[in-house]
Amino acid sequence: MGEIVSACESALQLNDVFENLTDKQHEVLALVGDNFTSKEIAYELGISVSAVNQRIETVRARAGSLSRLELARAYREFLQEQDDEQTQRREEAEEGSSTAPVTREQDPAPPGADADELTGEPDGACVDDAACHDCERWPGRDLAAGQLQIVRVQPPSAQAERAAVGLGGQRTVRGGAGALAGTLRGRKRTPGPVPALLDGHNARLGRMAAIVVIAFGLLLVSATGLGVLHSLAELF
Amino acid sequence: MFETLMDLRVQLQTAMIVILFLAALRWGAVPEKLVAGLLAAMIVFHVGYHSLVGGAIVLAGVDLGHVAIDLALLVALGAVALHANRVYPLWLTAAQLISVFSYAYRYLDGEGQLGRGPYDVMATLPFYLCVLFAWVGFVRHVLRRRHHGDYPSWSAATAGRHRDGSVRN
Repeated sequence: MGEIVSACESALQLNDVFENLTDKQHEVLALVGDNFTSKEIAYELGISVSAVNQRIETVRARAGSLSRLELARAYREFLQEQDDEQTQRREEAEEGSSTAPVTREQDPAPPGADADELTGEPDGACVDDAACHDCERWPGRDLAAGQLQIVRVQPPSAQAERAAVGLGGQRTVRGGAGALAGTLRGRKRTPGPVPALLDGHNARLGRMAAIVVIAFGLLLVSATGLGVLHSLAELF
Repeated sequence: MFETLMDLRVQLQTAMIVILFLAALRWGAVPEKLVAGLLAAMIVFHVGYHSLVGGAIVLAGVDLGHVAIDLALLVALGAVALHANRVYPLWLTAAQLISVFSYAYRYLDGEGQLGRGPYDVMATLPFYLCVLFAWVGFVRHVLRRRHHGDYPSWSAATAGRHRDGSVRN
């Protein structure tokens, strides 16, 4: 029993750690979770291997010196949980939008939801059944007259919409760390310093050809420049 | 002014290489350090060769010491150019290739029918270009790192080691 409790506590601590990571740390950990090596992560993100290792070590230190393998597993589980939560929230939002997006105050908003919350109360007319033809949609219609009830109207949040269409921003740790990992693959990397032609398949051959072409180009430019200089010297 | 510059060109060139080397040690990544170090080493070997021999070893109008130094520099720069995650070493290697070919040109033109002018240009101009390209590459590296952060020094594509054997760009 004690072991189960301590396991739960450590899982919660890890979730806290993961939720408070920076975007860069999330980027690296998402790839660690996919079992990329540091070198591959460095290449993928366009940063140095030492920067990758430094970010991993920082997270490991916070997470209680887990091994890299354990860290990868824990992060995968964290992402899975985030995905599940997000799916559940989306389903709830869809259900809500099919009827009226109204929830009771007692039903707390999901953590991290950044929707503008409209707090209102049913007007007096709605307490009177005859005066409001849509009163069945008010959950508090059977309350005694004069008793106020606070309800919250939640429009679908912009963040949830972004996550739903796969455009989860970088700052969606609580609501969309899974979306972050998902969009990482599709995001546009900072272009490398070397053109793809010289850095893809047959890179060596391409580079050798480039050297020869550049050499001929330099010779041509030099010869042309000298010719022009010679002509100018003859003119004056 | 121009004549003064021409008189001081060797000193200026040496100063530019020394400054580049020190700057590369401070702010450069490994390829920048290697390139600047190779240029500095060339100066050292050049001075050392002439001091050691007390002149030059010439065969058919070609200085063999210069050939050896330029060939060694071409190979070293070529290795950096093939593996670095940079473009500018390609330009340095191309310039150095011209320098090496100038010796073949000189050797084949033993009688001097084609004149010494083109040979001099081919032998000396590339090294000035090398210094220029190295500076441009170094400055671009510093600016890139400032704007985009650290990036790999070596190309993973030419290293040939990838997960599932694929190359990611």
